[in-house]
Amino acid sequence: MSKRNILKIIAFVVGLYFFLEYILPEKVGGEFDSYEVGCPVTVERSGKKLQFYVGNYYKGRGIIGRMVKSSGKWVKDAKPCLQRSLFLKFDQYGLTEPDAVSAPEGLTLLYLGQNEKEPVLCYAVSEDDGQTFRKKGPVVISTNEVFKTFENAPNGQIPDRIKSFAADFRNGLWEVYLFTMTYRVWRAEGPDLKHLSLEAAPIVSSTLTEKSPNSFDVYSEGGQPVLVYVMDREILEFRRSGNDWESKSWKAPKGNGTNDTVYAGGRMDVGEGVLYLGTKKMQKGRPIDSPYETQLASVALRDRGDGTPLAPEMSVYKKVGASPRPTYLSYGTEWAGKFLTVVGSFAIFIAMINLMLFHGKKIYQSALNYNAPAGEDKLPGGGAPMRNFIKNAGYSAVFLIFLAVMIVCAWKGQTDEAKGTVWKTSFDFLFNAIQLPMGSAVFSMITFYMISAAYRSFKVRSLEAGFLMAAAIVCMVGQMPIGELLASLVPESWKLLQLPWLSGKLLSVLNAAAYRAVLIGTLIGSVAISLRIWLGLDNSVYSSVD
Amino acid sequence: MTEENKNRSFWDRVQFCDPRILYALFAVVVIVFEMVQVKMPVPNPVWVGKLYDRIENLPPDKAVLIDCDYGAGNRGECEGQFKAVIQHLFSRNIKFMVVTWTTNVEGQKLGRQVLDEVAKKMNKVDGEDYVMFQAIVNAGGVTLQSLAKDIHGFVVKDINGRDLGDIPMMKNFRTIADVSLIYRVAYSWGGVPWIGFVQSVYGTPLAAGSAGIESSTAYPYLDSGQLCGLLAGAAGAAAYEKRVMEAGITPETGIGTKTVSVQSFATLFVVVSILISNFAMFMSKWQGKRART
Amino acid sequence: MQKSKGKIFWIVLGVLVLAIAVWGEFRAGSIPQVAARVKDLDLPNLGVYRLQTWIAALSCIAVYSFLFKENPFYRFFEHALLGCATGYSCAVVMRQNLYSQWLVPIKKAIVNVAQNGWTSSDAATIALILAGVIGLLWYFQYSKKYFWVSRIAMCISLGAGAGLAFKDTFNQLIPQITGTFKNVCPSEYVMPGATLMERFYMGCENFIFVIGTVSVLMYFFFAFGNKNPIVKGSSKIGRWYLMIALGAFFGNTFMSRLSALIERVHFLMAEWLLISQM
Repeated sequence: MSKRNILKIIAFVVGLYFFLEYILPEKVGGEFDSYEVGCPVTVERSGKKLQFYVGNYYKGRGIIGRMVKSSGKWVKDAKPCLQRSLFLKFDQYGLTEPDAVSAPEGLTLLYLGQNEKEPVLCYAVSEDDGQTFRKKGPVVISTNEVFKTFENAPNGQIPDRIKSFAADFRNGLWEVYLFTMTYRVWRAEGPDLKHLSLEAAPIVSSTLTEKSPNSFDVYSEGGQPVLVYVMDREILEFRRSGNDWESKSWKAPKGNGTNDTVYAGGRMDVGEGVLYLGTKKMQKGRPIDSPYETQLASVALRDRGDGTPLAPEMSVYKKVGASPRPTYLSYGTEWAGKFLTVVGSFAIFIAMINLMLFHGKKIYQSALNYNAPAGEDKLPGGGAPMRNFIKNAGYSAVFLIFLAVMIVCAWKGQTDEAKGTVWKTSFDFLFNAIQLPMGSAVFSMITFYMISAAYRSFKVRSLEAGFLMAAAIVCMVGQMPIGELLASLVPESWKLLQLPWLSGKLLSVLNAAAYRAVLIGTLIGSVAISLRIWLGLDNSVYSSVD
Repeated sequence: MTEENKNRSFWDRVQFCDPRILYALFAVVVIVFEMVQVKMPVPNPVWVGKLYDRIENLPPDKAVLIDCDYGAGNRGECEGQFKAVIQHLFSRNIKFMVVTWTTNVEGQKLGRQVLDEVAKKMNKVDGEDYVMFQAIVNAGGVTLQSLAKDIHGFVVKDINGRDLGDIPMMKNFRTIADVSLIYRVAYSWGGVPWIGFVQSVYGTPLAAGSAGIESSTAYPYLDSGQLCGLLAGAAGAAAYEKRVMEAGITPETGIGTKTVSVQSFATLFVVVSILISNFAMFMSKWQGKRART
Repeated sequence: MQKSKGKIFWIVLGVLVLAIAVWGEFRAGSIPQVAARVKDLDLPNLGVYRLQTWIAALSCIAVYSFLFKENPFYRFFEHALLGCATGYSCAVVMRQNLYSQWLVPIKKAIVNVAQNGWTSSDAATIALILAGVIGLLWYFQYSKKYFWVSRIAMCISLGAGAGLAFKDTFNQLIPQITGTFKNVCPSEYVMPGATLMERFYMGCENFIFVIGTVSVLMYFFFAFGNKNPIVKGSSKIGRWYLMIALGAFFGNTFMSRLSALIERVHFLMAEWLLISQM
């Protein structure tokens, strides 16, 4: 086997490892709720008690699962009932805080869809009691003037956002209560979830509690809404009395978990009282993945009347699902990272050695030719030997001296512990006096050349050249304060004449569109090149071998 | 004046003037406005606001990972971007870790100088509020994969040689899941493949502070949501500084704002000179046509 | 005549700048910002700071002198920069990577194994010695006979790069492609709360975007001839888009370089000559 083939095989095997590492899953098996369970909500439908909860396969990526109560036990469905979508933007990153409502058109599940922007309130409808859902997209609430900050905050103002919500369907009308970041509660109602209208003023305009509650829910009692706030383990119920809200609170007993949480949506009427479902967090021996394991548990029970806790209850009814097993490849990835880092570190010295060899040779040759008569040696110039020597080898000596000094100073003076020592001071000195100013000056020198180039060659000789020049000018001036100053002379509504707006659109629409096409091309090209190298078709890599 | 130049028309001479005249005029403009320091309204790009809002709403129990990879050449742009963001993070008490690369050791030194200066002014402690890692060899995506899976195991030590396990703030931050935002400040924002190996795999949002040159390549990624914010050039730094100052975090704006005020006039000079040269071209063409007819 | 005039100009300018610099030096002690800067930079005293500033200023001027022609002054600082930059890089790699991320953990693992026996993590750390062996193979490129051995290290790096490129590329590419399928007629469900006009503008913007990407792709598509009027027309539009993008690129490039220049001018004026606000 030739050397070239050995090299090709090495490259192929290493490439294959990383290729497999990409296409094969990092972990295999496991259930959708293997990482975390939480946010239980209960609902009754067709005489069955149903429960929906959020399960995470991976931190922060919620999927909704369903459980049915049969013969006193919660039984989990094998498959999740609602998953995040890959392509729809509003719940790409997962689903959180579900609320289930039994409506005539079907069992409706409302949830906050997580995406790269702000969470969006969405809903899905099921016709088979929650076994499967059909997504219906975001809930549409007509915004009034006061509420406008929700969608687009004016400059400099922190936008108010939905933090939590509760929904209900009564007398043919949908009611949605929105709890915002500023602790206000708004009410919206309408015939369906695509046509809700918001009330002019919030029903709770100031903070009822000092801290923001962990979860929030609303249920109705005699036609009046009762707001349920849960703070850690304290459950507060607010009923309207006149203009104020009257509170009733009690504490759920502490269980034996590290961090028990009650969920307002997990409110259930049971025979003897009201039961709240929540989660229990237990320390688990997985220090890197997750220090805790969460479990769903019935957390607190109280009587229907004055709110006294009944026999404290804390029973786990759902643990996290079976976790996936890491593959051998994924164990290896971390090691491979370290391995390649070390191999890469050694390559960096090649540059130094090459430079040292080059300059060292120069000095050596100049020293050899020190006394050679002018003209006979191969070196240029003539004159006194010393002058000749400095001219030919002086700069190389400068390089080697600065290299040696910098290596020593930087080695000894790079940590904070070296503060005050001569090493640190001289390291800082060399960096701030030579490396920093020169690096910057070299980078900036081209400005002058660009000015003369622009002056001479930026001429409108054709339509395309005109586009080029106009784009350059708009982009330069529009991003600068001078553009802002010019824009202030133009009325606000004349957007096309406002350079900052124009340059923003130029960059984010026209430039982005063109560059995206270039990008798609280059990315496909890079796959092709990688394939060539990986499969050993590219012989240029192995040139000068054999 | 050479003989050739004498025979040319006025507009031709304007069109092909000695570049040294341009250099001198340009230098005068830069020097004069550097001395005068005119205060001007700073524009407010959308993506700067988005980054500011994101940082404003970051959860306090997670950390931010800052990739500090700028060098001496783009210090005028990136230092402002780096400084304003860390001031904002400090003011919100969000802890952050700074990663630097051996391919650009200047980033470590410059970042460290800024970090020390800001931390001293805002009374923050190294190891409790922020930490700067040792430089990492940038061996492509494999480095980022290892970093994302196990920060402690891969980075091992901070810049002062302490084990990450001994650093108080690092006890809670072990993997990329504990990071709520990655912010890369660099000449080339795409120089380290954060998108391919971290953002798309773990969903950690990525924002960039980029030198003007590379910023135009970021817009397709902003559009697709792979980037969540962008500070482009000195103008981006100035816009962020303005927001930070308006929020009462710092008493005054920084290097970015200073740069853009001079830059405005220098840019205006260039634009005017381009327009003059075009006008001269049209005039000389028109004169030539008239002479022929 | 012309030459001597030029010489006189440069001499006068040089003397003027030097005079300002010397004048600044006399004032430096009394300027509070200078004292603050010494403190910020953690320098022992004012003298060191001023010396550092002077050398930094000289090195800047040396670089700018290259605009006229190459000279020994420039060459000196060029070699000094090269030495400093190389030295600094190597020192960082040696101390922060090889020493503390590689040697120290291996040493620790060996001690651990000697005391407590083998564990899988220790074994993995000790196996990193292999990385050092492979890393040393790079240096075979200085031998003519065993040159090919150095290619082993290179092939491992290249193979890893090629394997990883698939992940990087597809993870970047897919959102770019899906992001191009934009809604050119956004309904009120897509943009809740927006007016009809706002939705119309959004639709137009998305339409312009999609047309741009498709037409530039068409422009770069060489697989079939461009006789077809649709291909011809769209690749022409693609050219316009490209021109606009290149114009924006030029504008951004210029501003970037300009920022660096202004930063240098700011340094020279404010820190060296002390005639502008620090």
